[in-house]
Amino acid sequence: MTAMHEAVLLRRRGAKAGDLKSYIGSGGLAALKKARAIGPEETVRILTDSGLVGRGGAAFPAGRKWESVRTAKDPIRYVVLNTDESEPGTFKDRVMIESDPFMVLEGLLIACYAVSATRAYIYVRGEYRHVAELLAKSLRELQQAGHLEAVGPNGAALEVEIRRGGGAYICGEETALFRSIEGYRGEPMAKPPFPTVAGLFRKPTVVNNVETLANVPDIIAFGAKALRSRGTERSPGTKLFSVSGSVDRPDTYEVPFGTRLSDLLELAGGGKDLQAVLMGGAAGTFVFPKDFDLSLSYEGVAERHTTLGSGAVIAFDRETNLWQVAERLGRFFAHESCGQCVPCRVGTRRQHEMLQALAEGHGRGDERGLLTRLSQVMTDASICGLGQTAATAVRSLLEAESAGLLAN
Amino acid sequence: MPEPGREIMDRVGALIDETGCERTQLLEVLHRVQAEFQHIPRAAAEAIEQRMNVPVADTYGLVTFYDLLTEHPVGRSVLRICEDVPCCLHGSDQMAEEAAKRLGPEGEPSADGGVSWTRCACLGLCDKAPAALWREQPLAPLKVHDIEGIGDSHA
Ligand SMILES: Cc1cc2nc3c(=O)[nH]c(=O)nc-3n(C[C@H](O)[C@H](O)[C@H](O)COP(=O)(O)O)c2cc1C
Ligand code: SF4
Ligand code: FES
Repeated sequence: MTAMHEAVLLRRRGAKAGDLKSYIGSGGLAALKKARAIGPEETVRILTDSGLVGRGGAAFPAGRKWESVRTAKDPIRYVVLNTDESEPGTFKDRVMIESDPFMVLEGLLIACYAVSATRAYIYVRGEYRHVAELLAKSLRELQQAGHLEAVGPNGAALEVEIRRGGGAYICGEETALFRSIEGYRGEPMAKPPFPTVAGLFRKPTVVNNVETLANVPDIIAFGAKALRSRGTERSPGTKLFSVSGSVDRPDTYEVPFGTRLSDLLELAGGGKDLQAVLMGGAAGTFVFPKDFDLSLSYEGVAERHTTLGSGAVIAFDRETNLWQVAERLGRFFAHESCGQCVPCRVGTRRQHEMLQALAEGHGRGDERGLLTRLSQVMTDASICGLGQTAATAVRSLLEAESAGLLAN
Repeated sequence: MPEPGREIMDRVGALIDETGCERTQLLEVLHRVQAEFQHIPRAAAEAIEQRMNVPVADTYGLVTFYDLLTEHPVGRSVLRICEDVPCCLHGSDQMAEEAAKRLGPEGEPSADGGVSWTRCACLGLCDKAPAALWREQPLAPLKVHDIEGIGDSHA
């Protein structure tokens, strides 16, 4: 086996996960201490130099985000930890928190310190009660041991609020998330303005994914080179992948960027007789064995016209009917569309109806052409990422079918 | 004797005292109302209008938007069965059929009001497919005998 499973973010997974004493004993909280010694400007500079990009799907450079909020004019700023994780096939943020809640929280505290945040919000999807409870307990321990002191602006103690979501995938989209915290339906807003300018309560806001912030303590403690010592030039570091479906060992795997997809699949006990995988979750694309040698890096997936998305990898054996899989994806989007804009509200419904017909094998015959046109309209005319990507997987399946890649 | 609507309003008032009455607390208030009454009763929306200055229509705007809030009563314990792709590959549709057989129609509480079940979107437990939540905690992988057990205790 050539693949290397490299536990960096997940190195504390196991027996002592979530124990503050052993976290500190193994170097935890040293990065927060260092950040406070070097100051916000230098802290953000290290992060920018590291080349860390956000792991929530949009792959935006983390340092740039922090810098715009750090230098914002408005003295009221927020940091939001996005723990909404609802992309089908994605569970790596849950595993990250279960394995090492303190590393995630230390990353959050460093972010707050670096941008002088007035308050932090942790938005946890409503179905992750067990995760929210673990975060609350860990946060309480940090607070009782005095580690939130002087992390807030002007030497004040940092205030952190945990908010639970209501069961809506769209609330993972950053502007919908803000609306949800504010007490409204989670309907996305058009961008710009971007969150760094007018985010939560219209104040400059950093929103980061769980895995993004989990990367921060090592980068600050060991320098930008620490991240760059793994992965590729353009995708430094390691990446968490949620592998599920037709594999023997579904789990979260941490591998350096640049690892081959086939090696990741082998780690999870799959690979030999797979028909395809769905990369990036419901909003991703199907990838077939001819491309299993692709490099799991931002540049590597772009080369093969696919995406890392949220890091979901769902594997399908040769018995699986991929049109039935597509029907399930279609159902998901039709259910999760917030309904605010017509191409997405109507488009996801129509798409699901046609996918149902194809999955059940009684289509009228014109579905494939209509799906292609519909996907164009939804991609072009939807307000947010949900509508824009709701047809991505379907389109990749149509192309694969034309190329004769489907097993049945 | 106070009318039932009055009682609900008083109780919701007490919940709002705990969270604070700013709009940003609305979802949290609704979570607590749902936990106590298994749905968002009209009287709760009226109490929220009085105490939080949120129109009844806005409250129902949230209730119809968020899956964890319901207009009609569900069971005191809810079984949520994931229906998305990884779970589907591992037999979640058969689990839903089993639930319909043993626990009654989706979304309807058992005669004692104790339990109801519903299909739901990915629970982030796909490594343990087919996944479910039972009383808000993971029950994964879900097995037929789990559903039988739940059915037997609410027969
Ligand atoms: C429909 C939709 C759902 C999303 N869900 C999540 C999510 O569950 N978790 C997450 O971190 N980001 C999610 N995002 C991305 C966020 O909008 C945002 O880009 C991200 O939280 C930023 O963090 P990062 O820069 O650390 O990646 C979603 C985006 C869209 C369009
Ligand atoms: S694209 Fe869909 S989810 Fe996004 S705002 Fe429009 S209707 Fe809502
Ligand atoms: S698909 Fe069922 S838990 Fe993710």
